[in-house]
Amino acid sequence: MKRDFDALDRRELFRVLGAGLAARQASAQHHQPGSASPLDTASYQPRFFSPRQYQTVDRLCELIIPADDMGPGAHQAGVPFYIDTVLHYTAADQPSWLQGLADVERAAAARFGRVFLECTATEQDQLIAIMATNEGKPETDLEKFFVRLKALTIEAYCFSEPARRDYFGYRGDTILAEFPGCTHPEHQR
Amino acid sequence: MPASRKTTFDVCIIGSGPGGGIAAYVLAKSGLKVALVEAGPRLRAGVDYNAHGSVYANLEKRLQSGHRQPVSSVWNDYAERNHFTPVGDRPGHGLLKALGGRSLCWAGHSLRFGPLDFRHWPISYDEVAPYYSRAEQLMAVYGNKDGLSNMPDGEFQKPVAMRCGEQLLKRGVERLKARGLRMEFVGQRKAMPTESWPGQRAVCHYCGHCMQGCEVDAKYTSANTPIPLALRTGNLALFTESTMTRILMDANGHRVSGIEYTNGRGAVDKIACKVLVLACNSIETPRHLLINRTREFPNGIANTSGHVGRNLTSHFGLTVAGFFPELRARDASNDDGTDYYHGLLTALSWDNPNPHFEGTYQVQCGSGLHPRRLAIDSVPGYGSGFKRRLRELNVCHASMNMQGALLSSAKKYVDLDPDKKDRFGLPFPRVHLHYEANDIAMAEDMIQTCEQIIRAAGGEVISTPGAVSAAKLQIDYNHWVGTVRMGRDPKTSVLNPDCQSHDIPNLFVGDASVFAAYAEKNPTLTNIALSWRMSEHLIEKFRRGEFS
Repeated sequence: MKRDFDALDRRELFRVLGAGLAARQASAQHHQPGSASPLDTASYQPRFFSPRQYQTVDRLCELIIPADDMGPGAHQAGVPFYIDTVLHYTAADQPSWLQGLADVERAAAARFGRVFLECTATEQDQLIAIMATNEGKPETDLEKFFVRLKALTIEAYCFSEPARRDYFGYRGDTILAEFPGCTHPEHQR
Repeated sequence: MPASRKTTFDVCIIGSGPGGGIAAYVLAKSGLKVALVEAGPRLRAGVDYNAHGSVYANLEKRLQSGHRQPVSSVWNDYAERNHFTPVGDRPGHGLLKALGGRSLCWAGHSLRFGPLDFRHWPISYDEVAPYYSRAEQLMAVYGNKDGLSNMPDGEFQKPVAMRCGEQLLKRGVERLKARGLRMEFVGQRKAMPTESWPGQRAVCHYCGHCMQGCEVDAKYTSANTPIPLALRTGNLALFTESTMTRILMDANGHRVSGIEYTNGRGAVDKIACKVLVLACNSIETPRHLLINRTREFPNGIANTSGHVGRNLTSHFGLTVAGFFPELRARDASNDDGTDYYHGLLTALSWDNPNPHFEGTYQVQCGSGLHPRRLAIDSVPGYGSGFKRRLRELNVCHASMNMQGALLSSAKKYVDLDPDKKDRFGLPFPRVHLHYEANDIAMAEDMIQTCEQIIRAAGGEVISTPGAVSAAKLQIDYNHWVGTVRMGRDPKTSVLNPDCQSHDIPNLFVGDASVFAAYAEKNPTLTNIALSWRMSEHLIEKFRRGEFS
């Protein structure tokens, strides 16, 4: 068979693409997670939420994904930073979040006569349980807020480097010379 | 080459995606003077799209520049929206206006159609095979030599290994084969170099961002291989950010004389050409033919047959996922690879047609831990138990994504919206999709087969659509074909087997709308092979003086 992709083309292709190639490979190296300076989410000052709202969101997220002996929780992962930053730039979603937090406070006041952050751990557990009722088919505003809160919490958690590294055990997004794939003989029979 | 108002190009190509890009390369290399017209801009790999790096560190910059998604993706950032009218069962219309078109965001899956798939075509597999080989070499396609009858092996670079979950599905398939079922489970074949090669695009580094846009240009795109090669010949003039607004006919109305286009600054100009190649895609190419109505062609140019826009088909599907407890103990390290699907279930009812439906399907299979793109995120609950399940499902799952050939029928077609127009005043295309009993039956069979494989492999089915209804089926809006089909009979086809209009001898089509029939396999490799073949036939016709 005639090999249409002939010698001239190969040299041409190298000249056209080769120059940019080294630079881009270097840029890819530079973008490895390990070489990026870690983002300081702990000292972040919220821009959308008030300090109290931010603490409330922080606590709610931690109830959804708590720190435990398996790995960091939402707080350590930087989830509140992520949520505040997204909402800061997403005006369309802001009202539903403010409304949702107001609904949480209303529920806390009605049940326990306190703001959410001053509720005991048991009381907060009871509140999140109420919020999580009917997750598959939310009806009340509080239930709908839980679905929204949880979705963004999962997104933020899974994008977080501490969570990816220290909980999921993810070692990807890097440069490999070979892709090893499955190395377990027992999976291959 | 400098483009002047007085230049008459030998060939003007509209659209720089997989089909248009390869035509530009083959034609320019032969010495013909070529104009390539692309509605979008040139995007720079690694600059205009780059999914590498920390999402948190890049978040502010992404949101600030108005992007809706936290991770860079050619598709999410640049694809057209609100550009067509859907009718029926939620059809989509994938359109990316950028140099390279949707080759920028394709997965790279490169599967040859087999001899059986060409049964209803006016050309045979053997006529296309040499072009498949050339395409695979230029594109750098990796794969295993599987020796399958109806998905022939190609010119492959070394294959990429399957992950644990995909190996387990293969185990299930082997067990069912031992019981007499006919199917095969093989590694995927994709267009990215896996070893050092003469072509010298970057060798893949297995970061898994293929569909978001390969930031190092390892994955084949029209923009990183054929178009640069064509430019080096000095025979290609590139018109980016230029939208074709009219097809111009000569004085007697039976040949194309050029096009009118609007450039990025809104100025209207013309390009004169001896031959026009449309490579816009299976929705836009028929749309332009239908828009351009003339005295000689009152139903749209090249549409004497009335078949422009008809015979629309695509792939559609559903997903079934399995959970494999034995993967709990595995070391979840780096499953990125060449994006999600490393395995392929194929050879289902190739030569033993299923009694319940017409056509074939394949199942793309993926697995592994990709926490930034969770395969499974619909885990109920909250707290430590929820957290544990979230990790476990992503480490221990394998998922099976059906890709079935939609039955081509009178209920699926493209026409023009009588009411809505784009900013150039051109009617929107309307895409009509209505799932039929055949499509439902195929999906039911797929679910049954996938569940059977997962159980045979020792897993449990954790996500399945259950009873199939049209509402659950997902169309592949990037895989439309058939709307400007080739055939021998000018009454039932738009193009001849050289992809040349039956009506207008200097009008050709280089995109996947030319497909005479569909298979379950991904369309791009076949699109590229056919466009290459069309280009060579076109060169031969120029040599014979047919266009002078």
